[in-house]
Amino acid sequence: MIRLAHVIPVARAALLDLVRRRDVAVAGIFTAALLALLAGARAVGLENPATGTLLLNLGLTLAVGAAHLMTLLLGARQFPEELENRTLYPLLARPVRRAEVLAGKWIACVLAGTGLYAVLTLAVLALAPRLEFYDHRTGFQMVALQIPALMTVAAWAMLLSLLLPKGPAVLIAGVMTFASGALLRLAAAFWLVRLLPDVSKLDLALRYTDGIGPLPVSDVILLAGGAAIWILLGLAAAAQLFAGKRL
Amino acid sequence: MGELRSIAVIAKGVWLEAVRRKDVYVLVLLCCGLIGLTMTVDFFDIEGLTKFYREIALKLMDVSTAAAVILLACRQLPREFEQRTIYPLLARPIGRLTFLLGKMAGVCAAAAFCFGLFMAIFAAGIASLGGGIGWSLFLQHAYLQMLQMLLLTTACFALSLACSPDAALTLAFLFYFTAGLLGDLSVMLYEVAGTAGRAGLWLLTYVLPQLALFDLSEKTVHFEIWPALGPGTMAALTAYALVYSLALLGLAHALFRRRPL
Amino acid sequence: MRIPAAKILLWLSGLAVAGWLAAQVDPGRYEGGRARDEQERAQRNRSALAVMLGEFRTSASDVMFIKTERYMHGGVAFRQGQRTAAQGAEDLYATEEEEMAGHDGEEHGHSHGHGDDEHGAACASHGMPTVIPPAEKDFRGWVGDLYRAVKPWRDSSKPHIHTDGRELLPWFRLMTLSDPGYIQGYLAGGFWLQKQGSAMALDFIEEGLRKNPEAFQLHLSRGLLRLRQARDAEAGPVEESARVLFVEARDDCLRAAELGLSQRLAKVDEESGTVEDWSKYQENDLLAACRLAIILSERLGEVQTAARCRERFAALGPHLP
Repeated sequence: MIRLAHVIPVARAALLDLVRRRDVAVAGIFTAALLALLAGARAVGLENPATGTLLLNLGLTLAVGAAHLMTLLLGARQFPEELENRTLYPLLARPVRRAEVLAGKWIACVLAGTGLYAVLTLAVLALAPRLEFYDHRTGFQMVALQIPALMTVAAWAMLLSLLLPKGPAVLIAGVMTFASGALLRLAAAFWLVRLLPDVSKLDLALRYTDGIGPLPVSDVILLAGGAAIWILLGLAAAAQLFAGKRL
Repeated sequence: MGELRSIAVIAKGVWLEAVRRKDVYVLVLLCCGLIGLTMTVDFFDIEGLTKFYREIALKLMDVSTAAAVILLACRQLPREFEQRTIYPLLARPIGRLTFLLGKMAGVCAAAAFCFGLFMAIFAAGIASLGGGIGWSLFLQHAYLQMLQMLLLTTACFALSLACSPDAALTLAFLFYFTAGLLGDLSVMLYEVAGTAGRAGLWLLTYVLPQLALFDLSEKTVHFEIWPALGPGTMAALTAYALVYSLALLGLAHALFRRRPL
Repeated sequence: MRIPAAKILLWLSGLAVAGWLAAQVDPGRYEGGRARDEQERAQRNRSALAVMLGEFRTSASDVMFIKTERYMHGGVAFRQGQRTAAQGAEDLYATEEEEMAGHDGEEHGHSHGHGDDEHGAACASHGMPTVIPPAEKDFRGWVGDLYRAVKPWRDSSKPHIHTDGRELLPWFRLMTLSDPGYIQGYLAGGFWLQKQGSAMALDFIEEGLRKNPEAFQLHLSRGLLRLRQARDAEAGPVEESARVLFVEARDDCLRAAELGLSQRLAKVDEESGTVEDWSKYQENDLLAACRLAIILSERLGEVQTAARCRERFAALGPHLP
């Protein structure tokens, strides 16, 4: 059983560590790069509404990509670095279960990723011109579905980092996050590929900028259900591996 | 002579680390998997579509080698500080520049090892498809990629000494992935910029190393059409890479010297 | 650490269930959409922003379309989006229709792009500015010279390189795999397959039809492919098989015309009477489908069907035979 009272301090400590390690600078770099792109595009001019939509889509997709990348990097480094630098021992010496440490760190990664996603998406929506019709309900779904997507990325990055050295874990988590959709379409005949968590299904940026209406509620439930299973399985396997790890 | 020996010893350490760690092999395996998966797609039963294979394989090779170099180069110096392994090293009669040169040589050797593996896989793939490679352009591409890796390594050293390791890693990846955009972007922006903007763009063109100049993959893909680069161009590109690498190494050295131990 | 096999099996089953749930939904599965709209694609690809971005795009089919454009020109990047493989079905097989109708395409304002032949491509790109400018227009001095030496570049005032379409085919395959709703990918891929003399052209168009049964341009495309087969069969010894193919081609064109007409009607603004979100390529394709349906019916001796078509399609204007 996970005790929330033990999880929250771990999450808070992990978030403080992000600030201490100047990870905010990374978020700042992403934001600055995106703002530079938007400013550059405005400088060369947007000749027609279609170009405005191209810019909006690019901005929203980059916001998702940056948030996924940051969540992935944070998730993948939580355990390898703490184990290598032996900074995990003082934490585990307290009456806190390993699963609670995992849950706390996972929450911190998700919060950091969601924060970056919110900042970048708001910047894009505020600065990219919206010259064509876009359905706000789809926009709402687009933002809402990114939360389970980020949760999935964090859980699986942590799982892979407990299974493999940090470098390979980051690489495989990267392929899983950014290429599983393409892999599923290209190699659907291989059943192993079909088991990959496909977070691209939760990205509605193109649907939104295409001016299409929202997904039916049943579809949203199916997608959220699938994501919930990916998250639970990722966390459960990570907890199992962490529990069995010799410190 | 002693300096050279020190450089070789430090470089060997980096190279051994790269070879022993699983990162490079995972990268190579991932690349092979991705190329293999792409090639399992049925392209209408038409044989000998080697241009497509060249395009996909070269792109994956280049990006993977760059990713390996960035990951390796960005962690070299911060890790030495974090784990305090730099103190015994610098306690010996090794200058900081020698130390940096050794690290640089090691990362470049690792890049060559990684790219060498990819080249072998690429050649085997082309042979199995029954296509040609266009060796002169391909070897020029490999050489230019190594120059690009030298530039990236020195840029990563400077970045990792100027900011936090994760910020350095992020900036290095951003620099690499937007390098292709920079050239076209500056030309486009120059047309609409005012006097100050134009001066800024001119400065940016000459201050920032143009990584895209070391990417000959497009011509290598269409080697039936394009001749190999002339010796003058190759020499100019080599000089370009060396000048910018030296400048970046100088910057890294200055930052390293100012850094309190 | 040992994990019991039952636990692993349960875990894998969970993954399979999650995968199955996600597979039931495809948020990218919808008809139309700006990303797939040829008029919008042309607009955005000709914008300064698109030139600035080069191949750096978020739409996979956009990236691949740019690839096909550059492949056609040996890797040279032009500023404006080239017409690599035509925008409409009618563009692709224009000769078929013209020969059947005995018309000159230009008479009806048709614009035959790359789809026609490589010579057409040469005309279309001649004089078009390249992404890397010539030395006299490049502020970068020797850096610009290096770019022109390293990247595929050719002065646009000089004759261009044009490759055959064979090596474009994998890109059309990937385009349609990444976005099965991208009708243009099927049309252009079908065209190039047909140019290669591949029997897979019809299969590819039919795959597109299975995934997009309401796409009238694909019906027209299949009709045109069958028409070509019918004309080839006509020259052979078995005349009956040619007639069967002519009938099938007519049926395809008729279906395309009916579908297209109802889709066009749905887009007519009641107040102004104008057709909204309807490109000139769609209009040309619709006209081609109607004309072919009439011509082929007449050829098959089905005069009444031809008359019915003429009456039904009269709203499209004076371009019908």
